[in-house]
Amino acid sequence: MSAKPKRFRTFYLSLFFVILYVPVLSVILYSFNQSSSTAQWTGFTLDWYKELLNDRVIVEAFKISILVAILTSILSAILGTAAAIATLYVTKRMEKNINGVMILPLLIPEVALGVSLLLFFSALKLPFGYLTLVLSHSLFCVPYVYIMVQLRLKEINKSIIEAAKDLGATKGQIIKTIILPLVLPSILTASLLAMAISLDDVVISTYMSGATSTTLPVHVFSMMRVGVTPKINALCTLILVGTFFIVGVSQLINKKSNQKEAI
Amino acid sequence: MLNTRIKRVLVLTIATIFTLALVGCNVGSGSKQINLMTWGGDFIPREVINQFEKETGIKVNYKEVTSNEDMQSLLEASPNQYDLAVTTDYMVDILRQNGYLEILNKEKLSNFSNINPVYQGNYYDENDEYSIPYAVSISFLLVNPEAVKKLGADPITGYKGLWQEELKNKVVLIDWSVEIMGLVLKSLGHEYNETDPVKVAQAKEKLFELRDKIVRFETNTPEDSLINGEAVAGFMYSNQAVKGKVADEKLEPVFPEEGMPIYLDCFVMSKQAPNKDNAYKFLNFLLEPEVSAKISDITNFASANKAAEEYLPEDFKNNPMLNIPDEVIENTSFYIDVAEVLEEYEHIYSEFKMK
Repeated sequence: MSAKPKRFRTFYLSLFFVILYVPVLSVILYSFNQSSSTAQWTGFTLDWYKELLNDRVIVEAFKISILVAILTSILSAILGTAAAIATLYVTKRMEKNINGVMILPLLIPEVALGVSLLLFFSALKLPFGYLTLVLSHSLFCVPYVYIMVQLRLKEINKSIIEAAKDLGATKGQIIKTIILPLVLPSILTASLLAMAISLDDVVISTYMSGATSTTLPVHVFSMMRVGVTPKINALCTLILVGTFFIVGVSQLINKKSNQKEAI
Repeated sequence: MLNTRIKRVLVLTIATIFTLALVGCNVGSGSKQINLMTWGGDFIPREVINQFEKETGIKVNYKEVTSNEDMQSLLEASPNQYDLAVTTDYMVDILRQNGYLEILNKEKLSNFSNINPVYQGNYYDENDEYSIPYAVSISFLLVNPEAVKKLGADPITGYKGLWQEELKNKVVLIDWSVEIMGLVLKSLGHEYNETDPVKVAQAKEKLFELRDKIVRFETNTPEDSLINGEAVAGFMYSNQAVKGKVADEKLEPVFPEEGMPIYLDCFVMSKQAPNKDNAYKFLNFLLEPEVSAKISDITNFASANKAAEEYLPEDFKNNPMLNIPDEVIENTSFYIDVAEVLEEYEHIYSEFKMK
């Protein structure tokens, strides 16, 4: 290979990563800035982190967000996996229909979904709070789990299942002892994804949270009216560290499962 | 083995969700609380809320939202969930017309007389029946007079000063069509949100002449351009100008002689509020002069409470951007019927930005 394309490739790649990560790095950098304005660098400080950890409202909102995200990932993992496995036992046409219905929540604009859920839940007289947050977040997280698990299901060697059938295994036994262990890594990565999506959501959370359960992203956005301080930079930095940790774990899970398969 | 593990997780999840649902049930129905909905952060300072909770034993649930429209949807979908909201002037008008607001009983608001009359009787509530003004913000010019002089331009006293040739690439503006068209209309001596095609065409032409003076359009931190010297004059909201002045003493506010826009965030009560009596207590508490002064000091929003003035810290009282003089307020006007002009203004504005 000649040097030129290689150099171009390096240049292109570096440019790509610079554009992608410099804004993120500047967020981290300014979380250590003494001045509350990004116009000037006045010195290094950890005050914003101190202020952040002493901010009861942010800590409370963070707890709510995490709890909702965990419950959402569990609920959507269960529902999504069940739906994906169910498609093994229906006709091709039915499967297509199920696919369409499952993807639908991803296609509806979030505001429309939020308002219709708001009207629906108030008609049902459900109390707004954790329950509505988890239900609505699961609604748009289930499709991700469904898609990921279904992809994995398609890779399973059909002869294993047929062999099990020949040997007299019931449907339940097949799902329990063959299918679930095989798709487990996908379920885990999909739940992590669901967790991340739930942690991210602003629009639907605004409508679904009750009077006492503001989630972290909603809190941050609602601060715009008053003005944002580098406290939020500090918060973003901590969240980034957390996200890298979660991504790292999910990579590890994937790697392990791939190794197992190789054996 | 896998089976029992999954079962356990399933049971646990469902149990948790239902417990939380039951916990959630308490909201909105108890007698010793109020549900409040408004902008987040410290828009209504937690310190003040804590003081109220301690004094009265009434718990304040603070729901944070990101826009006036969100408040509208939430309030209209479940009017019996919320007691109080703080929302911007035009939304008070909409909610009032849609019939979701309670007419406030002034007998229960002994401190209402503390409100400065200059903030009363506005278009969204002519007789002050539905709303109590809470936070005042206006937009005006923040100028670096020394730098303007150095460029050889005349001192800036109003919008007209921005059109000086010397200020090429030296002006920063808030990035919103209605705001900028308003600035141009005012500089021509017209009113905000003009629909007369002749006047709009005139404004369009004048607007385009401004294009080469502008170095940046920035809604969130326009003051930064003045601090780092990129711009010498900027049109921005009062709280941004306050921040700019803190960071750089040389910057001075200029209240344009042609007039400027004002936004009033007001308290309103839901018609079906579940805890009306407690809500009145909270409103009356916030209207106390000392409390109101404390709120202004924390939030850096100008107060509509005239009686609070003597309790304000010296530097706050002497800052015209925070303790806005009445004659400045008298020279302000609201943006009314934005929806009617928005499309056309957006169109002109995007053409302007692309030039």
